[in-house]
Amino acid sequence: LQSQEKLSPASKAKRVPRSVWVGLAIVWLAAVLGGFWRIGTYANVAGPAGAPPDAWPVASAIARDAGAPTLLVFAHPQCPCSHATVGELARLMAHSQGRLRAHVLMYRPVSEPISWAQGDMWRLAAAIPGVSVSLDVDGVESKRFGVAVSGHTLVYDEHGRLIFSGGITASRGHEGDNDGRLAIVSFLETHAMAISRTPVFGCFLRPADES
Amino acid sequence: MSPTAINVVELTRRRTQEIFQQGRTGIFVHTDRLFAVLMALQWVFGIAAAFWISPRAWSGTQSSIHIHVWAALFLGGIISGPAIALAVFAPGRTLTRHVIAAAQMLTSALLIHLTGGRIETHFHVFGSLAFLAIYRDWPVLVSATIVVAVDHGLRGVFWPQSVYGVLTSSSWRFLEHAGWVVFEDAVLILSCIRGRQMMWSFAERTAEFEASEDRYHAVVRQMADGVFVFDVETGSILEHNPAFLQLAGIARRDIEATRVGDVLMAGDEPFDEVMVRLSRELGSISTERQIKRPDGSTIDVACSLSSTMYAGNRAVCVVLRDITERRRIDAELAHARDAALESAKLKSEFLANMSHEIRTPMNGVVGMSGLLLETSLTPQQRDFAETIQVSADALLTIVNDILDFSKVEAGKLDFDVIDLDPRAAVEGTLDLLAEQASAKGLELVSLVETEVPSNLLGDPGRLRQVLMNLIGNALKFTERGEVVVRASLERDLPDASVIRFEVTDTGIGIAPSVQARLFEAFTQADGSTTRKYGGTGLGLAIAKRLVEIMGGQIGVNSTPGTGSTFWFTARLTKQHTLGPSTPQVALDSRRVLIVDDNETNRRILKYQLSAWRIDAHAVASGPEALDALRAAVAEGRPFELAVLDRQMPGMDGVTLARKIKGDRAISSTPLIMMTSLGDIGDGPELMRSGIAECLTKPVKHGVLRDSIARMVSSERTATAAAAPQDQSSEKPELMRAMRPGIRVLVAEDNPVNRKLALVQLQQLGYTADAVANGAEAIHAVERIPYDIVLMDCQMPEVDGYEATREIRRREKDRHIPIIAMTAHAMTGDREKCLDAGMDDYIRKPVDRTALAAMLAAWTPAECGAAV
Repeated sequence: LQSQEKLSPASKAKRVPRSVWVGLAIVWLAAVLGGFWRIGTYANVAGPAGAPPDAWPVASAIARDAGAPTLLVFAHPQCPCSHATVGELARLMAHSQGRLRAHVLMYRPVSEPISWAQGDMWRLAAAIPGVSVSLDVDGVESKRFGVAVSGHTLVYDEHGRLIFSGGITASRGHEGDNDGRLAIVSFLETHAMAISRTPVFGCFLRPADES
Repeated sequence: MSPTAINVVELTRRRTQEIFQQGRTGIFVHTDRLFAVLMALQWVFGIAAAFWISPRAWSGTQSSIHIHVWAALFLGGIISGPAIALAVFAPGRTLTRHVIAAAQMLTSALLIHLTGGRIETHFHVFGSLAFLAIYRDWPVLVSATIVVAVDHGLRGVFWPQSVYGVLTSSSWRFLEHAGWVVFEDAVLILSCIRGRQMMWSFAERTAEFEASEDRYHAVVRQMADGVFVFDVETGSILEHNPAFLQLAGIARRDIEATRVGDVLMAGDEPFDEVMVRLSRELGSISTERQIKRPDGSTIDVACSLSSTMYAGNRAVCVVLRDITERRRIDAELAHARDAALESAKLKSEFLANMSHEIRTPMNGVVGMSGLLLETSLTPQQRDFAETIQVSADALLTIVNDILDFSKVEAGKLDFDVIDLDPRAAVEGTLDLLAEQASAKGLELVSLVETEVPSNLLGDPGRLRQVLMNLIGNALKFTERGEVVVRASLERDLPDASVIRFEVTDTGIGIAPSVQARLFEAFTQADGSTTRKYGGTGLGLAIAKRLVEIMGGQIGVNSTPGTGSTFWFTARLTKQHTLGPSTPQVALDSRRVLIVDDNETNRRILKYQLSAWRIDAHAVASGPEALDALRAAVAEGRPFELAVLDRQMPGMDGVTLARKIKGDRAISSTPLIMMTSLGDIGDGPELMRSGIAECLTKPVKHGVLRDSIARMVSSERTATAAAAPQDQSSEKPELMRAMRPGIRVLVAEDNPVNRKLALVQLQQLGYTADAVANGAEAIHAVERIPYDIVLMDCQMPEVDGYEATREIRRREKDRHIPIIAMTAHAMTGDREKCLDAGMDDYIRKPVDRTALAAMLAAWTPAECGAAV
């Protein structure tokens, strides 16, 4: 008898017509699918490909190693998606076995203190062997190299020629196999790559009006 | 299996199902609520994780809320909200838990996305499935698995890297993922099925326990008797039923804090201590006690107690029954019984007085009519006088019947245990009724089988009373034919013999519908019977009671128009010493011819003679007898004796005797004639016809044997032939005392009876004086040396008892016999007379024969000679 009393709300629910339940289920399912569709879309929409120079800019303050390919990663220190890029960089560097010189350039507007740029991502990147992290004050270098999206990675060979431009994640904030990393690894292994351009997933390094 | 058993099994099965469903629903509801909380927490966690991992999306120095935060908030809400709502508002429903399952797996998908597809977050899927297994409802796992499969399938197709971590996936990758999920599902589904089985088993046991409890409650809780169990050490009440609370006067709310001894007292001791002591000393017992209740009231209770164990402790189980009312009723019954006994005593005294009052005038009527008949009367006067005597006798019989019946009802019937010979009892009874049978022309015969022992113990008077009643009835209701009395040994026990008596008549018979109530008091065959034959209807009721006292049964077999057989049995104790043995005259192989037209007579006589090893032959008529006698002579084996019946159709006994004596060849045959009582006067004629001895019917066993023995041993006394022996010699009126020297004092207050006694005594040859009360008797005895005093018991002023005591007190060297004459006939009267100092007792109405015998016994011959 007690159980029946406890089940009284259910008994009330029983009075709701079946069609209403079906309708509600469809609406709910649609909402859920729509939600997932939206975040899926967001994760897979790439930023602008930019226009990096084919040859290393002479004006760049970044020291290029003439004996090994140089990899540049432009990152926005507050971009949550770029954490995945740093993760992929770590894998790439581990795989390169010293055959690659890597620089991570953290965007820092002059209006922000240094600590703004030297957060978690800075520490993660700095901890990767063979990777040097430096500030890109007001995005001078990113502008010089023609990139606008955090996580944009460029690889120049020992001769200063651009051999890769794009992202090293498959989507926003998602680590794992991706075309960019695979292409760079392929170059290191064989000095050849199937693709040299990949989409970049991340926040804008600069405000849109500056891009 | 009985329908009831089936019903119980079915009810238990239904109850099992009910408990199982209740249990499952409980689990569903409980788990729904758990998931409601879990999903709310997951939702909050998702939002927090989004804030922590990707709070904002940046564009240079500008930022906005990251879409993941909105996704955690809204998509998480869309996923969790309905599930939480259903868990709260529709817990336990199938839809609820399936929605929860789907939502939980969608939450996994969302969290995986929010954490950037971290492999660690994938464990949320496995954890969720395990959590869903709490439902113990494996279809829920199927629903959850379908959601996971769809999610992975779609992602595998459109975005494999998000779930598999690779850019491209093969179907094997999907199967590998699915395999792990199915592996977990298999384990969890097995666990669910096992859990369900355990729940069913638990439900079954619970249902059986409930059924057992119900039975216990049905028996114990509904009992009118109070039942309780208390701890031997602490006296605390462990179990009780409602009846106990009511009986002990204890409120239910107080029971837990109550010790038995605090509320119930048995006398001055706590009730529990008494019970414990009794159980230790006697084990399981039943006893009755008066207990005192908390309110001070007392009740009588019957207690049944037994030692037992309760939760490992020694305890006593007590069943109490309130017997206060029963005891009150017992007391009332005892009071009523005492009153009834007092009433019975008064009734007994009333009967004694009534008996006295009726017998006193009856004494005068019977006695005076007897005296009148001995005077010279005209035929008409004699007829009137005889009618008076017959009517008086009938009235006396009725009075005796009523008195006997009263004694039976009051349980005061005298019953002696003295030497008893069934044969003598039967023959003695037949003697008394022979005249009545003869007057009606009926054959009255008896057969006491040889196996019937003669040395038994019992009350011959009561046995004769039963026989008299049955034979008297048989004679009364039989107009022609015969009345046969048979006694046989029904059972021979080590210390007793069961004798069966049968009285068979050829009378009117009794309808079957009447037979059943024939032995009830005041019952006769029908009203017309009373009118035609008279009687009180008490005789058979008295006979039944007497037979029951003798340890027997009584009954009747009857066919209307053909006759009846009344039978009864009597269990008579054997005597330890053998009775006097009859001197045996050798009758072996003697040849005797029986001649009687009555077949029963022939059969009985032949049986009796054969029992004595006589070579007996029986024929039914005179001519057959002559033929048989002559044939025997011709064969050289003549009959040594012929026993002839007097009355036979065609050739009667006397004619036959003459023909035998007239035939030289057979004239030497000794002849014994059996006659009826009315034929005794024909003695001289019988002698002339050659009869050696004449026996009066019904012929006694011993008399017949002696007669035959005399005949065959040539001790014939021809002169004795015509004299009916025995019976004539017993006629007391023929042997008057003629003892004028004996002086008798009669103390009698009733003038008629006084006069009667004087006349009777004069006729018996005594000299008699009479006084009217006890005081006069005392004076008379002092003045005149009477040889004997006849003392009436009930007299005015000084009654017979007091007068006797006074006479005894005054007498010195001479003891004068005092014979009580009383109309009292109740138990104890005789003892009362003897206690007062009287020597003997004679009942009114005084029979002259009995009076003569009594006087002869108490007045020695030399007294008369001396005067």
